[in-house]
Amino acid sequence: MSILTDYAFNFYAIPVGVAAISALILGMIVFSQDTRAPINFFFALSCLSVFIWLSGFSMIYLSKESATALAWCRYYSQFGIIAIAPNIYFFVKALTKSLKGKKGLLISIYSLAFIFYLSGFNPAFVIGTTRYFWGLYPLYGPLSYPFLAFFIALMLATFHNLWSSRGKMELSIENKRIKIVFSAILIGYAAALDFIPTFKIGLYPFGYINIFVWIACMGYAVARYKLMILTPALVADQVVSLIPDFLILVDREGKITMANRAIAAALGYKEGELIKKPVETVMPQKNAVKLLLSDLGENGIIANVETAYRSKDGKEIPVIFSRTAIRNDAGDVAGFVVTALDITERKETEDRLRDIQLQQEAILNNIPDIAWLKDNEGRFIMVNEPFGKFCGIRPQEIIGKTDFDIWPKESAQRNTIYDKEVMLSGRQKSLEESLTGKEGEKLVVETIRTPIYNDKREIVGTAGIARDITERAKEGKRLVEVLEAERKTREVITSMLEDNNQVREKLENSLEKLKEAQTNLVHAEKMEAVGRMASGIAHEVKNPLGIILQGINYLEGVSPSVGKEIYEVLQMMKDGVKRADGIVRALLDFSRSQEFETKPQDINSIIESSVGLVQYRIKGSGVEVVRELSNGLPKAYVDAGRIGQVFINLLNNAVDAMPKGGKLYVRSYLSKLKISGNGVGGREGDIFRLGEEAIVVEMEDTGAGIDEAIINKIFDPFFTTKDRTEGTGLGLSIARSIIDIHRGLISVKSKKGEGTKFTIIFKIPERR
Amino acid sequence: MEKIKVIIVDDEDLFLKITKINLERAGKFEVKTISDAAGILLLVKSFNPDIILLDILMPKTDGMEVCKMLREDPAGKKVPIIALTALDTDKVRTMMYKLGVVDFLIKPIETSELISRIEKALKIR
Repeated sequence: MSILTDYAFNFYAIPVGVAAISALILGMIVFSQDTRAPINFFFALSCLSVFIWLSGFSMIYLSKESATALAWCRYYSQFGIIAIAPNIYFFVKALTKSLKGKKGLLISIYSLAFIFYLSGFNPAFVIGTTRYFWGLYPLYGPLSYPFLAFFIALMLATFHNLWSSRGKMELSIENKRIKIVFSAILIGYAAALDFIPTFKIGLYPFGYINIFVWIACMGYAVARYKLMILTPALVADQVVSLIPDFLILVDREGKITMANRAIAAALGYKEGELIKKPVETVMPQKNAVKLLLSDLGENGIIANVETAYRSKDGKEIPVIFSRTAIRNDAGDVAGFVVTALDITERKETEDRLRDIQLQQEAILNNIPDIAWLKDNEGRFIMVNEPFGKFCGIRPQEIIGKTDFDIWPKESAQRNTIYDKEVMLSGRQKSLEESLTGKEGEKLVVETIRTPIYNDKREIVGTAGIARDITERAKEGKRLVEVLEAERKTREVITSMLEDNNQVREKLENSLEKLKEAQTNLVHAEKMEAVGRMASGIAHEVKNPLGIILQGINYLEGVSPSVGKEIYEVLQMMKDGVKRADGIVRALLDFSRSQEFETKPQDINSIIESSVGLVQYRIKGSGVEVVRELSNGLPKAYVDAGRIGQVFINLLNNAVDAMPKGGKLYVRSYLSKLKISGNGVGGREGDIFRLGEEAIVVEMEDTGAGIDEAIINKIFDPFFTTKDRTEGTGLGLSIARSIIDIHRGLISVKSKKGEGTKFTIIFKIPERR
Repeated sequence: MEKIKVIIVDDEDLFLKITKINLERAGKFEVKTISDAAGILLLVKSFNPDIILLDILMPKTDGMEVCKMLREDPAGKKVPIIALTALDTDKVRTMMYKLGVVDFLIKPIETSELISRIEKALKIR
């Protein structure tokens, strides 16, 4: 057997052979691109099977005898044909990333294909050959049907796989790749029409043309989108050009060999313009360049050095840069990767913060008093110069220290407790403290502590001011002395002018006015002082009261047989403690009256609910409540709880004033204020203008009335006509304080034996 | 009957002394006191109390910190705490309840009241 005898030249064999070799070359190229990637592997396998199929057919065409052709077909070509469908199927699986965990499937499909290959040796598969005008061609028998079914099934599965994963891949490049592979395989599979002539139908097997198109498409896909898995090395270019940080590569001589888009854009260069420029072009600071180009040994990393880059037009951009040395195989430095972060914004924020801190310091130092800021653990954050002078330590050295580092233990402990109280209560705390100064002199210091909040409204520390009020305290004493002297003077003058009624009256008038002014002044200060001190006192007093009460309990139990007398004394002591506690609690209430939250409220409904709350006392007391409430009153801006407290207080007083029963008128109405005086008018400090419309509430009883002599004192703290065990004397002063902070007015008119009328005037919010 | 073990935490030594006597005299209680709250965990471990009475405003370690310390401690978190303080504001009250105290008592308080509140707290548990 020789080539000359068995084969003869046939033109039709040429294009088929060329297509076979092209497929083989394409497969080899793709495989060499990435030998480890399954996509490339299965693609190369597909190409190989196409090559075997077509090259075998080329040989069949060249064969002279049927036996030669049959051998080529059965043992060689068939091997390619049965492998095509499985190879393409798994190639697509790899492409759509659904290959993982499919080992069983892979083995079974390839085993099945191999069985089909072996079954091809049976004459019932390839039954013989026939001669068409293009040459000899194999004929398939009934045993080929299962194989054809297998072939078509895999083909459909392949298309299904491609179709269902179109547009669903993570990267757009992968989706594009799938699209083009889909069309390529569609065209390639049309070559299956070459099966038709195997059933004695003389259709020219043009499948190789499809294979050419397929090769062209896949070649394009390979060149354009790469078939292999995307690795960092592959996409490095894109990564580098896209990262928002500045990145340059610098060679050993300090020349820029690459600059990314971000740095070029930020510094005002065109892409590529920076290449081959010395690194000094962008990095003006000589020592930074020196550091950048230094050889640091093995590691070669410099991290987060602050410097500035210079833009093309000379502007400096603050950055922090990091660099890594790149070494060649011999271990010598070949160049550097330099990344940098634009910190312009951060810098600005830092500058602004520093400005704010300087301003804070300036403000603190400008305060003549001692001032400080502490964090929530009591460490000083900032203190001013007077603080430093007072304790004899320089302000900078106090930062970070606590009270225990500066003051004697006792006062440090006290301060810590005060700070904690301020932080726990969230309220300002004012105190007068007696101290001993550096030279042993007695000092009176007024301190005010205030909580510091962060933006989440959490308390993060305290701010404090201390003022030396030694002089003021002395003056206060002097004022009392002056008043006393004046009182005596007045007595003398009064007696001297006893018989001169006119003069006396005038003098009395002016004295009265003077006294009124003084009372008002003293009152205002007293109220404020009481409010400020109340919460502080409460804690200071309640602790010893706790000890005393426990002490009394102790004595009660020491010897139950101590006798009636001692037992009675102990009960009296207990009552005393409870009374003191009651006053402290009332004081706390009073200090709370300084806090309020106003909302538009219907005054009438506050009145109704207040009356409801004292109903238990009214019932059976013989008191009749007469409501004269006007409809349609405008709403007033008040704290309903606080105003309710005032009404309840007045209602209770009214009930107390009528032990034998009587009428309690409760009125509300709108009124234009007509009478000047008592906070109404045009004087400084007047709350209402004459003629201003306001809401008026009256509570009038038909009780005992108030003595003219004491009517001016009823709003004073601790003034009471009731038994000491019944009242604290703070009710009306709290009421007045509450009305004051609402910018309203409360007044009283009374006639002994006829009754008392309290009038409260509320502002009407201005209509917008 | 086994005695109820109580720890009182307060910075006032005199208060601790008298209250301890008063409670123990009632016969049902065994009381340990501590004025520096920093050592509370050690005491809880060695004494294994049934309940803790806790002052709030104390220098250095205050009641809230003690609460937190106890709640984070495996032995301490089982012990009910009653706040016993002179500091009475709504804010502190809510904060203490949030931290898990079972009751909030205000000084001055009578021994009899204190005992009934302790018993109530233990009954609820």
